[in-house]
This record gives sequence, C-alpha cells and structure tokens, in this order.
Amino acid sequence: MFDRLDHLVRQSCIAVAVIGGFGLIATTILTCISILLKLIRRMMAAVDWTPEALSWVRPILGEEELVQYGVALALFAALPYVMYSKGHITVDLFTSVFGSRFNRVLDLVGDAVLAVLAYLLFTRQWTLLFKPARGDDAPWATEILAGNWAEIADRLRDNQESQILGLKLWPTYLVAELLTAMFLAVAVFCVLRSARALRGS
Amino acid sequence: MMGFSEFQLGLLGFPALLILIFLRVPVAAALFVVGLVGTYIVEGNARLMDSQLKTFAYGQFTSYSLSIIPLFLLMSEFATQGGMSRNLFVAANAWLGHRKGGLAMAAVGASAGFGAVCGSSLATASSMGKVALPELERAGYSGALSTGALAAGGTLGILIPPSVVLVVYSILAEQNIEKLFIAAFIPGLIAMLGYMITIAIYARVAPDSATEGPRVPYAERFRALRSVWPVLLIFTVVIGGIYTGAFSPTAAAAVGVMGTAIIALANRALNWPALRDSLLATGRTSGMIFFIVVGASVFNSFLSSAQVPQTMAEIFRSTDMNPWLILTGMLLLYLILGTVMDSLAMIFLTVPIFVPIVTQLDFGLTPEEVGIWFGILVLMAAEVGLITPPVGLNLFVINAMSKNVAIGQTYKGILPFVASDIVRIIGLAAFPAISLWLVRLMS
Repeated sequence: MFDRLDHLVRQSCIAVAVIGGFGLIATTILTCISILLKLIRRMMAAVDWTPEALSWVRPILGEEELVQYGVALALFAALPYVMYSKGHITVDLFTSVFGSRFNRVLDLVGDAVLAVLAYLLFTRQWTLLFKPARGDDAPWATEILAGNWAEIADRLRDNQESQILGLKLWPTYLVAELLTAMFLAVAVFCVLRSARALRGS
Repeated sequence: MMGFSEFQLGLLGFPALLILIFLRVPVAAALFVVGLVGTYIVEGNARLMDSQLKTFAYGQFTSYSLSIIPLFLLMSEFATQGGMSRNLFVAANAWLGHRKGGLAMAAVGASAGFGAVCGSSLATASSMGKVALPELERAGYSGALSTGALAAGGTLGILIPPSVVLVVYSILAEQNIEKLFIAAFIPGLIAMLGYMITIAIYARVAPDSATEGPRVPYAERFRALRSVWPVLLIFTVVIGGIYTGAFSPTAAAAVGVMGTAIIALANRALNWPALRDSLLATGRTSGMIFFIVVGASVFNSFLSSAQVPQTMAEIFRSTDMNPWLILTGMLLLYLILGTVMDSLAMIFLTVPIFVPIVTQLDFGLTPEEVGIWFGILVLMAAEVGLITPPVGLNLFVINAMSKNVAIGQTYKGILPFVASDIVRIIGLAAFPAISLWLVRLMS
C-alpha cells in the first residue's frame, strides 16, 4: 500500500516538475526570437528599409513579463519534487555524531517544519486569489459542496492586471496556489514517510 | 519585549538559526522559521508575518532579475549533456600534456573552459570528473592529486562567469550584475593559473604522483582547438552581449541555453530522456535555491524590522577600527564557516549584513567599487568552502566518482589547492585594481 502511494507521489512529482520545466524552454525560445527580431529591426533601420508590411519585426512586447511567468511556473512546479527528493539542503556536520535513531527523529522534524511552512504558504497565498469571507458569508467548504460557483467567482480577486500586457493576474495566482497545494500534499506524505522510517528503526 | 531591545532580538536570530541548521532542519526552512517567529515578536502582531507568507514566494518566483538563475542552471545541464567536456579536455591536453603533471593541468584548463558556459561548481566538477578521472588513473596519477585537481577545478565553474553565486550576491547586495561578471573575469583566470602552478609544484615535490605525456606537434594542437570553438562562441555571445548591453543578463542566459542546446542536439546527445533529466535536475536545484531565496527574504525582512543592518553599520562606522582588519575578519569568517556550511546559505546569511558595513569603510574606492570588489572576494572566499574538509561538496562529488581513492586521500590532495586559493584571496584583497581594472575600462 505504502509502496504504491510512494510510486504514485514520485511519478506525479516528476511529471509536474518536467511539465513546469517547459516553462523554461518556452522562456528561452521566446527570448531568442525576441532578440532576433530586435537585431533584424536594427539592421533594417540601418539600411533605412522599414516597409509597413514588416512592422511586426520588433522585440516582442512584454517579453519580460512572459519570461517571469514562464520561470515562475517552472519554480512552483519544482517545489513538490524538491520536497519528495529531499532536495532542500541541510548541514550534515553532526550526522555521524547523532546516531541513527536521533537522525531519523531529526528527519521527521525537518519534514514536519517544511509541511507547516507549506500549509502557511497555502493558506496565506489563498488571500491573493480570494477575498476573505465576510461576517455572514458561508464557509468555503459549504459553498464548494453546494456548488455555489457564482458566490465563489464573486469572491475572486480578478481586478489585478500585469503592467505592460494588461494580463489578468488571477490565473497565475491560481496555478501558483494549485502547485503550492501539491507541495503541501507531498510534504504531508514526506512526514508520513519519515514517521514510518522512524518506527521501522 | 522580555527586556530585549529590537536590535538584540535581531542578533538572537543568528544563534537560533545556527541551532536549527545544525539540527539538520533544511537551511531554507530554518531561515523561514526564525524569520517568521522573529517578525512576529518584533512587530507584536501577525500582520507583517502574514503578508510575508502571502507575497514573498510569488514575488521572488516571478522576479525578472532572479529568473537568470534557472536559465543558467539549465544551460549548465545542457552543457553537461552535450559532450563539451571531452572536447575541452582533449584540446587542453594537446597543449599541456607533455609537462610533468600536464594531464591534471589539462583537467583544470578544461574545467575553466567548461566554467565559461556553466555557472555551477558541482556540474563542472561532475562532468569534468567523468571525463578526466579515468584518464588520470590510467596515466598513473596518484588518487590524491587527481581528485584534488578535479575538485579544485570544479570551483572554476562559479569563479569564471557566468556564475550563479555572483547573481545571488548582486541581488542581495543590490550591485550591478554586468559589472560583477566583468570583474570576475581576470580573478577567474588567475585562479586557473594558480591551480596549474600548484600542480606543477605538487608534481615536483611528489614526483611519483604525476606523469608526463608525449609532446604533441603544433598542427595537431590547433586541430584539437577547432573542436572547442562552440564553447568559445557561446561564452563570447553571452558575456559579450551582457558587456556591450546588447541584451539583458536574463536574455543572455536564454541565449546561452539555446546555444548549449543546439550543440547538444548537434552531438545527438539531447534526446527525450536527456531533456527530461536536464529539466528535472534544473527544477530540483532551482527549486532548492529559490526556497532559500524566499526563506532568506523573510529572515532579512525580520532583521530590517529589528534594525540590525542599520545598527551594525552604525556601530562599525563609529569605531576607528582599521577597515582592512574588518575586511580580514569577514573573509576569515567565510573560510571558517565554509568548512561546515553550504556556500549559498553562507552568502544569504552574511551579505545583507556585511555589504552595508564595508561600503561605508574607507578603502580609497567609491562605495560602488567596494561593492563589486567585495563581491569578488566573497565569491572567492565562499568558493573555498566547496573544497575545504570536512564538508566540501566538490570533494564528495569527485571522491564518489573515483572508487579506489579513500576520502582521506582526497582531503590530503586538496590542501595545496586550498593554499593556492588563500594566496589568491590575499592578493585580490590587497590589490583591488585586479578586480576593478576591466570594470573601470568599461565605463
């Protein structure tokens, strides 16, 4: 049972991190195209040949914003995998002094701290996405169970836009929040994993 | 609060942090916890703490200036996959192999070349190690010298621009990344030469530990150089582009990713499994770094709300301690901390405190020049931490790759290179012009 869960968590973390990694590839391609267009435009300007039909030949508008979102996607998508694969660096100076049982306790503590942080990030980032429920509003769970989407959409903070392209920001918050939720789930799994290792010792 | 001033509370953050870190709490998590708890105590309510949790992760992950880090890491991965390390090693060996210890010098030279397209020390050490370690063993080099030379050579990955550590410094210290890259260039070359000289001396003192190869005719040497032009081209475009302002550092990193990807594709080395592994490894390292970035920004926000950097700078300004003494103390601290701590974690902890202090001291330079020169010194001093026993990541990586060499041998073999590092740091500290010459030329 645990092994199957472990396999599932591992595969999903890898899949999500690799898919997010394509954010970096997209960023790279976009930036290179933008630079090429800029160079061609400069050359065209240098020979004083700037026909109307080629007016699209210039650096991509808002390139920097798109780069930011591409990179952020890769980073949020990497968080579950970093958690699963014990990628967060620790200082192992005293590992050999502590003895194996105490080290396993410390592993559990480390994972638990990360899980608490993931929970705090998840619940606080939520308020980037949604306005807090007002005094007489029904709690979230009730609204979702009742399928009251109109009320949920009403609470969505959909007024923020990016500076250059004027893109709505809430979809980026939503993706970030979903990936943070996955980070939290994986962190809880890792606490379980460390607890099992401790009990087994 | 509890009879402590805010400044004292801020200072207490450091021992709290160290205790957590030594109890093997991940560095990022320790920074987060101390930062959040500290902020809560100093502010007396949870409002600032909540807003840190709400906006810092999203804010740092979408920061344009930080986006250069994952791109440089992906570039390093593609360079590693692309088979460039072998060509570099063969070329360097054609030029240096006939000297006593020449094959080890070639490994150092090739590491420097690899460092020009790779911003990470571990990636340089592991990809050069894969190519050079078996050759060194076959040629009869001692385990101590070959693992020592490769672990030291790996640090050229961050000493020679592009460099992830310098990017982190530039952001923490609010310094110009273009100028830092330019400033690191000559010190990086000095580091390479220093390691080669170290090998020459080593081979003379312990003649049994090294051998010499046949002399290669010049026609063949130039032919070997031809296979490394892509590396030179990518380096020139990336650093040249940043230098001339043709594109932003982040755009330059994207160009570097594209360049290394094209070479890896041309060498038929970039198939789906290689691409997947590259993306996964990049995600793992950048996720780790960025979680530290967020944790460190929470911690630093706590320190600022406790007025620590300002008060410290004030204290050091009002003493008449010799500035050079203060600088020496800071560099020594890096060397000592580096024996047990990760270099990036060390930089995140110290730079926000140290930079406001040093830029106010009188070294006969402008504050901006001090910021850049100090960045090069921090880079050099933190890098030593990668190769000092007992905890030096490069040592572990290289030692794990050479099965016949005990870790004690590697510890012994690295010491001459550490000595070379220390001599170089003293030189760069005593003569700021070495780091600043190209920067002054540029402006």
